[in-house]
Amino acid sequence: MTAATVELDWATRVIAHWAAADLRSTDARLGALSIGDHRVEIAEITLTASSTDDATRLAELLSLSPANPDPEVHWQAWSGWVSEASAQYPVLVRVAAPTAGPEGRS
Amino acid sequence: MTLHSTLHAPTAGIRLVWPAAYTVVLDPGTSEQARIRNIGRERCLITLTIGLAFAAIAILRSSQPHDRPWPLAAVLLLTALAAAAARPGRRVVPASLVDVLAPLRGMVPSAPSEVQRLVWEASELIRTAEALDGAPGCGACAARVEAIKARLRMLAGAGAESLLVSSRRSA
Repeated sequence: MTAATVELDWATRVIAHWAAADLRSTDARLGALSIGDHRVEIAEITLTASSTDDATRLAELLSLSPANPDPEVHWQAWSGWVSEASAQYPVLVRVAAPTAGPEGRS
Repeated sequence: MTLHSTLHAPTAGIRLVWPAAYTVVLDPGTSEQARIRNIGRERCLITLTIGLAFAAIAILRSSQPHDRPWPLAAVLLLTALAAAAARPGRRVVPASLVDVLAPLRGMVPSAPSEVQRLVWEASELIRTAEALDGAPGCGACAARVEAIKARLRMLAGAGAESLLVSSRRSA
């Protein structure tokens, strides 16, 4: 676990409590998106859930769209832009959860 | 890491992360103006993050389970997280460096700008050296870290002395 995710432990607990979802970690950082010649600074928020059930609950609450499942990767992800979250940066929210193996079993 | 190996010297951009109990140093930027701006930005965004998080919790608590305004609370929480993401760059200060800076506990450093720049540089050098554990080390880096520690010992001591002098004068 990185220092950034430890620092956001309060957010993990608050979201997990109110959404009744088992959440492993929360990460929030600035990133960049290249669109042609333009570089746009964005805020990326990643919520890692313990199971796909928990992740689905969160994704529904946050109105996120599921990413196309990749059979090679045992993770399911949801993502979406939440324009209301910041006037300064576009905010990309991702929710991810393991789908297979011991990690995916809730 | 325990609270004994933490430090809070906000004027030098060094702060204790609560409740995780470790110390970070903020990006000093390329000028004194940028350094001051980063410290102010950090303070402002932390206040915003805490305020928004409490507002979200208050909204959820004051509503009935079947009628929770989840979209509003979720947006407030995400706004709090976006504010947390927008804070200036930071590096975790290794415990060995915190020990060197111990005299600054509760005191104002005499040269906060220099202290912050040196801690910022040394934190990265020590982290890189730890990541390269087992690989051929960087001799110049180790020498630079030792030089920084020696300078910090001097600056931290000077900070403590100047505070003692000023407190004696005021007494």
